Amino acid sequence: MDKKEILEFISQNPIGNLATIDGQAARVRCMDTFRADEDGLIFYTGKNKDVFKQIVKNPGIEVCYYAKGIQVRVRGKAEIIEDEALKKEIVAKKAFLQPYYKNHSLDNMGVFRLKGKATTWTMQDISNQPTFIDL
Amino acid sequence: MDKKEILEFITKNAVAYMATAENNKPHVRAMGTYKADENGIIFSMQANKDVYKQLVKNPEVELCYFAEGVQVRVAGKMTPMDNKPLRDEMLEKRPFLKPQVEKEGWDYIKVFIIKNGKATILDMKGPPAVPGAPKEWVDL
Repeated sequence: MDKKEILEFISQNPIGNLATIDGQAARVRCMDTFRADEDGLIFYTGKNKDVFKQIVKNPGIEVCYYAKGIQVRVRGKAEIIEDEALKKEIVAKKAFLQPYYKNHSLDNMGVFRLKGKATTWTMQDISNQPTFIDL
Repeated sequence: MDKKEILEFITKNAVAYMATAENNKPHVRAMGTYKADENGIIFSMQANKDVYKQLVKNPEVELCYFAEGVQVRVAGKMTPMDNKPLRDEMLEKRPFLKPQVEKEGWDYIKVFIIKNGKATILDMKGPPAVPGAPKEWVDL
């Protein structure tokens, strides 16, 4: 898969599993990808969540997507972004956030971007070592 | 979910996203759970994989499972185990390993078990969790 195909794959299968570092150990949880394009992958969460606190301490992250026998992994450094317009757009598109942000400031939302490198895998790669392309 | 329900959930939804830490950087990939029961959670992998090298250096992992709106995370330590008792069953369950074993021998297939892991549940169908509330853990 080339860069364009990888970004399309992520856009079509936006639920990734995001890994962070917490002390000596790694942590991982499902994470919705708000957008995946030339500018990178955009994620949103609450600033009071462990995942956000972990990223503030150590911005090295990796995300794994898997669908229909294809796995895409993206790794790199998360960049925290404060963009009021983007946060408003996220709330507008994600209905489940609306009850909370009706009563809470958008300052509570943590948004971060990952512009990293990606590797893809299918069963045919069972014995192969991963190769990476820049996203 | 109690321990029994969690083990059933993992058995039914066997794709785990396994996170490892190496040089202060996280890695994560999809892995098929070989078995999950009272004794622990078992995984197998090939010796040439980065995940194996990472586990030898740092056995602390976290697993994430997701199905039907329920997320189960398991934190624990991957302990190496002898693959001998599993060999026949493993080739039956995972026939794609056969060419590898014939070429490289059984030492090429590395098996680990997580004993005494702890799990935390997020049920997205239930009432929304209080943001930032501490997680509750169930001993497995």
